Amino acid sequence: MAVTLLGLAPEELRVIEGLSLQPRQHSAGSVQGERLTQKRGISIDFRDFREYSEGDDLRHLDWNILARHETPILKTHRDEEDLTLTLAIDCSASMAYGSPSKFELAQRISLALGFVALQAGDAVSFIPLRTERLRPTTFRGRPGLVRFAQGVTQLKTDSQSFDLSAELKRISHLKMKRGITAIITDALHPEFLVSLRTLSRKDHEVWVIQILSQEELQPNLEGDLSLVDCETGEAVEITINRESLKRYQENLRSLTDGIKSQCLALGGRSLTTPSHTHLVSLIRDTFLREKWLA
Amino acid sequence: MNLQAPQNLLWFLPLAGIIVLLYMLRMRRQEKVVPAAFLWPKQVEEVRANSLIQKLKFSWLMVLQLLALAILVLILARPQQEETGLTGELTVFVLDRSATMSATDISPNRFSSAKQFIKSALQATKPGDKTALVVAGSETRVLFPLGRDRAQQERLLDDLTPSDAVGNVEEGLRLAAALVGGEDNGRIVLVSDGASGNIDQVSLGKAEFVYQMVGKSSENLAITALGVGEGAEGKSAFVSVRNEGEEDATATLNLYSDGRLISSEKLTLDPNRPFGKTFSVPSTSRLLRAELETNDFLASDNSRVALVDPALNLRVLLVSPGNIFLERALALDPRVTLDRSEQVPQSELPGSGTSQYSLVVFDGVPEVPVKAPGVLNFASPGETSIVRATGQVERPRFVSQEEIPLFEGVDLGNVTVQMAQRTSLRPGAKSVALGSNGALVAVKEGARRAIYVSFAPFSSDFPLDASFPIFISNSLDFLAGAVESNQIVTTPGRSLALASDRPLDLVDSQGVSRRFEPLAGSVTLQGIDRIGEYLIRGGDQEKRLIVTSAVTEKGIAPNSRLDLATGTARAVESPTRFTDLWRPFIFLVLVVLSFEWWLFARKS
Repeated sequence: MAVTLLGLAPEELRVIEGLSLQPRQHSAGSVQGERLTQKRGISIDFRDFREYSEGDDLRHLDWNILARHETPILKTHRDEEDLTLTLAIDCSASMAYGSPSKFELAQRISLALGFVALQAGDAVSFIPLRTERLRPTTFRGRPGLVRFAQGVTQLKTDSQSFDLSAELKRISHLKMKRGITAIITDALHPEFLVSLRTLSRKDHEVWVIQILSQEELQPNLEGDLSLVDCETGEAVEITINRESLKRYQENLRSLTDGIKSQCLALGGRSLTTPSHTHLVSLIRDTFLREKWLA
Repeated sequence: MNLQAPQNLLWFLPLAGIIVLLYMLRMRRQEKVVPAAFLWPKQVEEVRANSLIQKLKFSWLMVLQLLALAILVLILARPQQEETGLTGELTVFVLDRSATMSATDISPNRFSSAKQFIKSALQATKPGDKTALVVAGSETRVLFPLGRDRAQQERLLDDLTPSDAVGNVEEGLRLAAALVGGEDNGRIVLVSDGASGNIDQVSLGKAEFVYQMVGKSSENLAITALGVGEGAEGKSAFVSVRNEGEEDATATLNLYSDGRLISSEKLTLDPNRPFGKTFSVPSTSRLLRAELETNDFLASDNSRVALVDPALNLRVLLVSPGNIFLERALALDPRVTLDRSEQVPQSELPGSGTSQYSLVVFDGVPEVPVKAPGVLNFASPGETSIVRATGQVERPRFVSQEEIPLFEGVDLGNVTVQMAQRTSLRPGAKSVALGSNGALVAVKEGARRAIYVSFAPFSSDFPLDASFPIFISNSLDFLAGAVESNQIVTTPGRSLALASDRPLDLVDSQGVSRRFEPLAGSVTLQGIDRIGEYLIRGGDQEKRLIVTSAVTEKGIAPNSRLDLATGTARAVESPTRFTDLWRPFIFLVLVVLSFEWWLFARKS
């Protein structure tokens, strides 16, 4: 499949062209944007000032302040608030599993959602969840598309072990703009559900996109094994039989059901998809049909 | 249930130890890296072991494997189950066909009951069982060999008729032992009344012996002897009657001379005292018949027939270290009652009294003077021989033989003689066959007749020639006076050799005829084992054959204990057999192993 500069195939770009994110609840952006809010108002009503960030429309720059203080400050108006999509991509070692790998699909979903947000005038804040504990990078407008795409496609899975749950808790403490926090992960951490609750904030809608490989959905294991966790190195001695397979499926179902109910409780969305899912199918059959995008 | 090889149970210990040890070995598990181990339950079932020893844990798989092993070891110990039945896997029935088996103390008679026993046993056999039947009568034969064709076997059994001949159970058992004596699972079932006595000379090998007795009573009267002698007052007959039972019995004894009643006497017979009486016989009498009128259980020994003319009843003494050819040839003659000895008894040496033998045959024992009126000598010269031996000639050449009755049907020119005596005749003797050594055969006639053959039977091929029994028969004719008779008296089961170039028909009292073909100028009548009168017809001649009882057995009393070479066998009330039980155990093993496999598949 030919890949464009934006990291997506032309046919994938055609599918998401003109779409915009559809949060279940209204979220007000902090900067001027192209998204019409639900609130009534007048488009020239002043709301606030904020610092200029790369990609902002220079037409809203307060030239007076710039002249006096040499600081770029933007004026925002109430009827043209934007939306911030915070994309948290799980870069843990377990994401490298699957064929194609879960991380590969995670990158493509991130690119797609980021493209949709940026082309719709929303901001995209990008946080790789990995050992280095990187700070979020925000992209705005069409000019930020290429750099956002480069940032996502250059991501690699982490070879070192790190605590996904702790990373999620760290995100919850970050000062983030209002909007959607989309966590793209396999959620394979025993404390994932607990840490998911910490993301509960009034001005944030949590989307969890869980990607699982076929081997995780239907394990093809048998016999007496010592299962070693690829991240923690912890070993579990087990005899794979019908009973143990049944209990594994129950545990997995409990995890996915827990994510779903947790997201619903937080007013967000969730989905679980196999790593071999085609992105176009995912957009059409899930994002569009369930009105994640429109 | 019992075990045939219980020592094999010891195999369980080492084999079970191996299984338990395998379960005590610690498992080496294959490592597998997975994205998330926490989703997997810590559920361990150690079903394979290949590493270090660990503490033994309970496992249903181990229990099932030990159970399967226990059953397999039990099979090795060869479990057997006792069942009621006459037959085993390889069974040879020996059916006594002696005269006493015709006793009617059980209905309809012992022989029919014995047949019914065997028939029931055949019908109760299992599909894999093989059975055979040996008939032990005057001649022993295999009626049907080891096989499973029940219909054919029952058909042959149904066709079997009783016999009045003396049976030979010992020979029947010997034949049965030859069939299954070498088999571990062989069984010999003797169905008999045991009246013929002990069989302690037979070894049955590895075969199990079962004795099924038939008969229940010993009540019987028998004419044990009928003889004719010549005294000062003329001919007289001696009749002996025996009460074989345990209580006094009454009977009427009738004596017939050529069909005419000459005496009738009512008898009361004591079981412990045989009755004997002498009767005067008319001088013209040729055939005597004694009959008992009684209601005993065996009819065949209630009559007896004897020829009055002693020439027709020859008692022969064979003095020889052993010559089976001579014995057979002599026994073939229906007139002959044969005794054999390695030396002449003192009572037959010259002295007072008369000889009890019609003639004496010397073979390999030097001839001595005897009281008997006739002597047949085969190259055993003595002081009283009719020739004198002067040396030996190797391979004498045959020169000639006279055409006399002695050589009727005999051609000595066909006989090859390896070694003969050079002979010279004594006074009164004459050579009737001449060879290069002198007289090959010499005879002497007169009051005392003698025949001298200058070569021993074993030094020639004469005994192998068909003319040998004819020569013996002719010799008996010559020595006994060559009395021709159209009446022959014999006993059941004996073979008769009659000189004839034509087939002879044997017709019984029912008019049923059997034809016997001639062989080398002689016809041998065989298989005559029922008492009665027969006609022998051939061409224009006709002879009367009277088969009379030969009471040589020890009565009809059934014997529940038989002495075998290996011990005493008792008659069984309810015969049992042991059958191997491996089939249900194999099935059980398969069930256990199937269940074990199912459990293993379920756990794995």
